[in-house]
Amino acid sequence: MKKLFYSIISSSFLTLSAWANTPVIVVHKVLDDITNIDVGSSHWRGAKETQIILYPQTTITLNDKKANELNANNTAQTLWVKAITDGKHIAFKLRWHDESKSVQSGNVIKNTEFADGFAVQFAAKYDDPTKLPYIGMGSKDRPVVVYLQKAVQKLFEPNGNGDVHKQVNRANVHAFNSLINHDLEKFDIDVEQLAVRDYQKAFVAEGFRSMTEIKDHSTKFNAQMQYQTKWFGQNEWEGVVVRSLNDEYVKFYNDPFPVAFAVWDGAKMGRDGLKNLSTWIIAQFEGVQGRDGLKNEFDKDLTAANIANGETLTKANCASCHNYGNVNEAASSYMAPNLSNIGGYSTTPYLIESITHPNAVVVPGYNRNAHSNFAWYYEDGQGGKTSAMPSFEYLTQEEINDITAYLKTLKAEVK
Amino acid sequence: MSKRQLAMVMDLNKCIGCQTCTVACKTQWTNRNGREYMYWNNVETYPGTGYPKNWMELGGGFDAAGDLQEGIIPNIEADYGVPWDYNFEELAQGKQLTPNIEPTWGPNWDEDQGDGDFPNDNYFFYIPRICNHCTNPGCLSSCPRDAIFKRDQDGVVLVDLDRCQGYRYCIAGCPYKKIYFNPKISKSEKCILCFPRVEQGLPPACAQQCVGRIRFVGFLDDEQSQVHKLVHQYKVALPLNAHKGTGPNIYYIPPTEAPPKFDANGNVIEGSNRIPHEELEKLFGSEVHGAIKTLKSEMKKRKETGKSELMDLLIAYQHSEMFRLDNNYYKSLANTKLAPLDNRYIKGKNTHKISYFKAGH
Repeated sequence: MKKLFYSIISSSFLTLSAWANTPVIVVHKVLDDITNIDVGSSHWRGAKETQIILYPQTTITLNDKKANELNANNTAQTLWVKAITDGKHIAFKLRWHDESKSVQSGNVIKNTEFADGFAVQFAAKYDDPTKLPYIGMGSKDRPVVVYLQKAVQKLFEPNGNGDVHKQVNRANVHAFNSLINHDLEKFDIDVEQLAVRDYQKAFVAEGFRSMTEIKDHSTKFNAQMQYQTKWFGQNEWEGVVVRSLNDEYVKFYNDPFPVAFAVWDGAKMGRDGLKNLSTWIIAQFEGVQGRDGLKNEFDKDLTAANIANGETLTKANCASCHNYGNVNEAASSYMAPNLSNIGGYSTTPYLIESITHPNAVVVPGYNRNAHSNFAWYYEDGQGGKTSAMPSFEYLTQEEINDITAYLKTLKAEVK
Repeated sequence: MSKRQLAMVMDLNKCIGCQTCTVACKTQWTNRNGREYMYWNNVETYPGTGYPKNWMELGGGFDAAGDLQEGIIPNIEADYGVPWDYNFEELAQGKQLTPNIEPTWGPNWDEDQGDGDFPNDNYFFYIPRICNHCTNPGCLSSCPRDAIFKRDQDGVVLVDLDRCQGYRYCIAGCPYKKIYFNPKISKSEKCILCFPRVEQGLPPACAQQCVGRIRFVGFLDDEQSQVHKLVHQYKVALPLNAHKGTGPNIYYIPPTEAPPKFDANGNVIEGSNRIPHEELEKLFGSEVHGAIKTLKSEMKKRKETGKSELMDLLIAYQHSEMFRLDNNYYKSLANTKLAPLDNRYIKGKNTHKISYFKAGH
C-alpha cells in the first residue's frame, strides 16, 4: 500500500510538470476561401499541428452493460489538431488513431452498430476565463455550441432536416392533401433526394441532457470525416469542421479562445457520454496579439502546491461523496461525479470554482428518476438549482491549491 | 408521475394466442420504415424464451434502492429475429414457396412448446405484451437526452423523435425490452398506446381487435371504469414483473383455469392444476395468490347463485363498457390553455413548421 502511495506521488509530480505547458493551437491565416475545405486540402500545409490528450469520460456511468464492459479499461488517447482561418471562417482538422472503422450503416437488420465520430465544442462566452462553461456540454447560463460528425452511411430522414414528421407511408392519404400542396410523385422524389443525409449536426447546450439541435441554419458550418488506412503505422480518422467566424452563438475576436474536442469509438459502442474528451484548449490567431487572460488562468501556478497534502485533504473532504481512481469510499457511486479523470478534462479555474462555489456550475448528472436517492442538486421551483455539494470556501487558499493540484493529477494515461 | 393514468387489463384466462392484436398493431404502426422487426404488441408463450429472446434476463429497471440497473441491448439477428417474407407472387408461375432469407429466429419460434411432461403435466399459457407505460419508466430514466416523456394527461410514455439521438440506452433501461431501435432513422420507437385513437375516444387497435375480448382500457382513477374495478376494487389484475420497480400500468388477470394433470396411468388427477402457482408468483408477485382466491370464489359464487359482478365484468359483454376513454376529457384539454395536449411527438419541440398530422384526421 505504501509503495503504491509513493508511486502515485512520484507519477503525480511528473504529470504536474508536463501539465504546466498548456497546449496552444495556433490558427493559421490563409488567403483563399475555406468554406468548402476538406481533409485533403492543401491549405492545411502551413498550419502547425498541436498534440492534445483526450480522456475517457468517467463523470457518470451509463447503463449499457456490454458497452461498460468494453470501456472499463479505457486509456487516454492523442488527438492532433490543426486550425486555419480565412478571416471569415475558422476550420479545425483533427486526426486520431482508430484501428477499427465503425460506420453505422442504417441497414434495417443492424440495430447494434455504433458509429465512430468526433465533435468540436466552443464556448459561447469566454471573456472571463474563470467562468468558462462546464466541459461536458456547458452549464446553465454558460452555453456551448457543439459540431458533431458521425460516420453514418445513410440516414433515412426524408425531409433532410432531421424532422421526422414527414416519415409517412405513401399510402397515408392525409399526408398528401391540399394543405401542403404535395402530390405523391413529388413526395417520392423528395424522399429519394433527401433520404441520403450525412450525419453532421450543430447543437446548443447548457449542460448534460439540454443539448438541442440547431435546425434553422442559424449557424453555418460543414463537417467531414475520412478514414485513412495506412501501410505503415496505425490507421486513423481525419475530420474537419468549418464554421463562420461569427454567428449568433459564438463570436471570435482577436483574443485567444477556448475550444474542446471529443472522439467516439463505435467499436466500443461509443456514443453520447461513452467518449474521450479534452479539456478546454486555447486557440490563438497567428500573429495577433490578444489579451492572454485564458492562458494566465489555465497556467495558474500550482507548482508550489503540496500534492501529498492535496491527496490527504481530498480524501478527508471529498471522498465521502466522490469516487476517484482507486478511492471508492462514497456511499454510492451515483452520489456525485466520479473524479477519476477530472484532472484530464478540467481547467484549473474550473476546479477552484467548483471547490469554492459549487453552485456556479451544477452538473445535472443522471436523470432525476434514475438514482432518486442521490440528487446532485435541489430545485427551487423557479428554474434555479442548488448543488448538493457544500462550499469549501472555508479552506485556506493554500489548501485549495493543494487539492486542485492533486485533482489535476487524476487522469488516465495515454496508451 | 402523471396526473392521470390510462391502463389496460388483459385477462390471461381468455387469451387464445391468435395474434390478432399483433397483426392489428403491426399493420397500424410497424410494417414499414425500419420498424419491420418490431412488435409493439406481441403474444408470447410462457414458459418460453419470449420476444426478444430471454428478455427477462436482459437487465434494466430498478433495484430495491431505486437505482437504475444496467441492461443489454438485444440484437435483431440473434434475439429479435430478422423478418422474412415469401415469394407469393411467383407461385402462379409454378415456383416453390420459399422465404426470401433463411429464417433462423423470430418471435414465437418456440410457440406452444411450454414446459412439463406431455401428456401428464405439460402446460403453457399466453402473455400478450405491449409497452407498460410505466409510472417510473426505465427507458425515460436512462435517456441522456431527455427525449422520452410521460404525458401528464394520461401517462402515455412517448419518444420525442426530434430529441432522440439513437443512443439506445433506453433499450438497456427497459426491463420489458418494449422500446426498439429503428436503424433506418437511427431513433428509438415504441408502443404509443395508440394515443391518436385514444384521443378520439377509440381504444388502442390491439384492444379493439381482440377476438377474445380480453383487453379492458380506461383511466385508473375513473371509478366507473372496469380497469379500476379489476385493479383496485377486486385486486385480481396484477402488473407483470413489478419487482423491476418501474410501476407498470398494464395489468393481467392470472391464468387460473387449466386442465387437470394425468397420473401415470393416464387418469385425471381430480382437483389438480397444470399451471404451477410458483410460476405465476414469479411473474405477478405474491399478490397472485389472493387474486386466484378471489377469482375462484367469485366463479363458485356465480355457479351457485348466478350472480357475480366480477364474472359479469370478465365475460366482457359490451365494448362500450370495457373501454372508457372519455373522449370529452381530451377535448376539454384541447380547449384549455392551462393543460395543452403534448404534441411534441407529432411535430417535435423545435420544429417550426406545423405537421399535417393534426388531431381530427
